[in-house]
Amino acid sequence: MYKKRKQLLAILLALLLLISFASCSNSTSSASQADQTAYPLSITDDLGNQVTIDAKPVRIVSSSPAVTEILFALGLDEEIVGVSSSCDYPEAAKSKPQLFDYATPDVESIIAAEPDVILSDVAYGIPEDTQLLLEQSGITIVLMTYTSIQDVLSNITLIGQITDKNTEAAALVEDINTQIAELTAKAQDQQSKSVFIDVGGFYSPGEDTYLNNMITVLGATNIAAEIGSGWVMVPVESLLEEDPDVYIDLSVNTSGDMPAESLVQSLSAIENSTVYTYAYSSNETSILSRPGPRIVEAMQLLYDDIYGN
Amino acid sequence: MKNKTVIFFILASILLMMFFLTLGSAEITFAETFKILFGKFFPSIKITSSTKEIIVFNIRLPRILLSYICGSALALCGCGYQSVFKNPMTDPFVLGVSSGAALGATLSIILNISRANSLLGLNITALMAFAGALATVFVVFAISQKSRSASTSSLLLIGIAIGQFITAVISILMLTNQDSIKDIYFWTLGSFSAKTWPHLLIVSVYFMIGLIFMFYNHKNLDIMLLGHKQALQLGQDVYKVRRHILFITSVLAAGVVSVTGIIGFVGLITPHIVRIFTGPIHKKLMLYSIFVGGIFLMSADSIARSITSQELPVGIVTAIFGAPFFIYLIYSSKREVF
Repeated sequence: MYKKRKQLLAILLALLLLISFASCSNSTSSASQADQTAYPLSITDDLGNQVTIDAKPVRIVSSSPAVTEILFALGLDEEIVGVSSSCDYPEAAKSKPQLFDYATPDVESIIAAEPDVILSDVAYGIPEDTQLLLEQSGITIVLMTYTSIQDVLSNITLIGQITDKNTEAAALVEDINTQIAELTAKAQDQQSKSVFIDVGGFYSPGEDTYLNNMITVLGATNIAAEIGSGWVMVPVESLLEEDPDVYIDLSVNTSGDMPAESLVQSLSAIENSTVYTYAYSSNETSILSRPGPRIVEAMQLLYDDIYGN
Repeated sequence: MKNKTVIFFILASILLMMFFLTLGSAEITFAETFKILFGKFFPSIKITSSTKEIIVFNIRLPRILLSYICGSALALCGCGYQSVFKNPMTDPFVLGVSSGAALGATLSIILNISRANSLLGLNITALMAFAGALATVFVVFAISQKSRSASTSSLLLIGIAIGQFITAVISILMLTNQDSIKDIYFWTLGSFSAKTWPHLLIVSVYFMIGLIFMFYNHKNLDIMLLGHKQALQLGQDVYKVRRHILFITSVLAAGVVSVTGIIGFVGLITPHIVRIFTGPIHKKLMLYSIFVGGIFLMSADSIARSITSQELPVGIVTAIFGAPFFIYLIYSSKREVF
């Protein structure tokens, strides 16, 4: 009788141990999943291409300024072996070899750089033939799209996963989320405004663009969103009719004149001096046009312009 | 004498090809380039880096050969078109081949079916462009067949009108799909960038067909130049010959355009340049046009890809160097040019 009870106890103990072990190993595996990428890593990129990353990339090429900013923010300075000619932030990006140009990528130099992976986004995409040839040459390409703040954050997470910088990416995303939440809370106390962003010739971010998403999150309305989806050409008549409270012009040249001023003189934004002009090559324009880690700065800039500090 | 000239052109072509093979943005020395090239034929020569091998063998070599063949093909088409239309202004794109190809490519880019799929190493955009080019030529032919006046001028005018119509359709598609504007625009610019063996293979097939057919018909082309009535009097089935020549040259031009995008000027001026030296007899004219067109476009593309760190569209180079040279030749020519 006593012996039997001892046996039972032993079995129970063994079970308990087993369970605790199992749960222990379980918890370590989930921890490693969050912090460390298991290679080969299979992902489907935003164009629906099945991409496999065989090992942790040590040579990375970026074709887009936004991607370059994300890579630097994740501390991948060493790994970047090539960027595009538009990559000018952070300062260190300027000293990297420029393999991509807005028009024609330098295929030879890209292959000569022997990248493990090329990270790209739609705004600075790779021409079809070039993509095909690079893939035939054994180079992995991951292409990202973005139409919202959430997409930008997902891209940061994805780049973190590809480069085994999961912790850094998670921290960056959390930091951005916190700051955006603060701005959003502040914006809630403000009276709603209507905004028009002009990147030249009344070309403007409509519905389903991340700039529109930022404006909406800040509690303002984007004039161009009513015109259509994606980037849209807003008719001058609609613009005059809608009469936005705030006019942000990113198309000016360095002299700071607003190119379309004579056409839109009657806008109340001009009367109220709520027109903000940023030169095409200015820091502000690059912040606003790059879906990367400086998205918070972009939103702060929009907030200041819309609600006036 | 004639054989000597042919041998000169063949040698000049090969030497220029080898020279251009050593040019490029990647740092590969002269010696290394030839080691890689000959290493392919003589396995005993050791090739140092597989990356450099890819660059020389899969990027530079096919691109040089492709630009040569495209130059030859466009020049050959130019000879055919200028003879059929009896018009010095005609180039291979005058029947709407280029705008039709652009429409096919635009649809492919907009519908986004191209990126994930490829067939025999060619992307779907090239196939759609080819289909668009051929469809357009068929429409132009069909309309001109139905119209009462079957003259070459009405064919030409119908071609121009349909070309303009399609260009307008492309503009509408670009305006309503602004995300794709950049891709469409760069496709229409025409480039040999990132072209490799499958592209070369397909253009070579079209070129061989066109070459054989055009040389088989060289006498017919001569007769056509005399004009419609004279050709009929000489017993030529003018309509049939015209149809055949235009069909073959259109397929050839469509094949080139669908792979490279629109590369103008070469098909227009090469026959004129050669005609200054050879006269209008097509056997000679076509033979030397093939060499001159090939060397011209290959050189232009090699300059385009290696003169600055950023690649220039090849059309800029052909016009910048070709136009003044062409004007000089016309200016100093003692013969009537056309």
